[in-house]
Amino acid sequence: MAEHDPLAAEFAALRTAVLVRPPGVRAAQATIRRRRHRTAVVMTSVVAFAVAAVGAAVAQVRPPHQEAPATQHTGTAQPTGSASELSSLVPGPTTRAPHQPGPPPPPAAGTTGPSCKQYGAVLLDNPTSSTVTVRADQSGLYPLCPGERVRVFVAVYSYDTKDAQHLFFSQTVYLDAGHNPVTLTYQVPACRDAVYVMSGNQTIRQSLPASADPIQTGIAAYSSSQWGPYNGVVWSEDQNRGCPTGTP
Amino acid sequence: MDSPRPDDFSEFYAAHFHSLTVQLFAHTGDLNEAQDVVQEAFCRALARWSRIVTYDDPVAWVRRVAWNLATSRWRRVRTAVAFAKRQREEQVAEPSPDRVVLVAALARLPERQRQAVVLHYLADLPLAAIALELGVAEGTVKSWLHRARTALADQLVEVNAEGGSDG
Repeated sequence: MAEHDPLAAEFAALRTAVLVRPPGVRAAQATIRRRRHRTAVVMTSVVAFAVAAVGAAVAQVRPPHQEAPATQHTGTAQPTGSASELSSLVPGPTTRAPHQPGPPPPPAAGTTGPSCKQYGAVLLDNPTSSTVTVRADQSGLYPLCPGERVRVFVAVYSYDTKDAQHLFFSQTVYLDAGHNPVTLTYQVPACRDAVYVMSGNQTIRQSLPASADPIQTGIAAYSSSQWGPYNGVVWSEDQNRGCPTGTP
Repeated sequence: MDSPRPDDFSEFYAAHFHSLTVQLFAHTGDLNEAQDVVQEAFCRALARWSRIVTYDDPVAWVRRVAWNLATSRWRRVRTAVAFAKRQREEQVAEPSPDRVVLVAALARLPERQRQAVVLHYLADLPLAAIALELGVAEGTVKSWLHRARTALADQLVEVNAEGGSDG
């Protein structure tokens, strides 16, 4: 096409006329760090709140013969050695204390036995496009109890044209004293996907209903009365690589 | 496959930030908004850079994300844009008035025609690539570009004529 196009000159001039001050790669890195930190904080808060709420509910429904005098309810809840209704839902060798209201216990360093704490959250390190590394912070507030084993899984869903999600890939690992941290490797579909990293005994569902918010989807889809230590959303990511219209 | 070097992203960012911002500016008509969405798209690219760097055309991915962000933001805040613009601290200088005329003329085009024009004149994409990116046939892109050129030329002539009669 040899004909003169006067608009080409207009657009060339526009290119040079627009002065941009890029925020820079450092700003992008800071943004990502801030978001990951915020996500971790939110997830930890959600887990702690959910645990407290479930604990309060469990305390309400205790059988009458276990009711203690009112004065005994005023102190900090103490873990008991018996498995609770909630912990019976969690597989593996670990049994956990019933969830009762009250502040988190002090760091469990030096404690023994499986029911050494009421709270816990799996932390996320260095997620990439195909791997996530998860860990229980042994030096932090929520170390693993001796012998404790925490189920963690990554579930990748593809979207259909109506925004419902269908399981594309999943992998399950267990964190314990000998496997901490652990790296999960995952695969994604070609066009649009949602990645959930969850800890706990939740079922990996084959499909999830359409929802605008992937984090809300994750929580709503996976959580139930099984909230407890190390149960929750560790990481959630949704991305669209822009396939042609009509391609999921 | 070689793992991507950390420097790759910096080079990628430096090479394409300005160009993409101009394209988004032509699309949205708001330079600050354009810069915001392009930076956000680069943030998302950085978060998954090891995967994106393996794509045939990583720039297309960033442009698509920025475009989607601009579109969805545009839908959500359309009614508040004017107010927000008045309140926001300007990060960059707006281009000169004659360039603003071009952007204003672009804003009057139907969205798909505007997209085609931006991809043709500012992203320098061939017809086949534009068709692929917009999910339409090449003939459709040709038609859009033809109509858009005519409309833009008419508007620019009108503005020039008004400017001439004023002066």
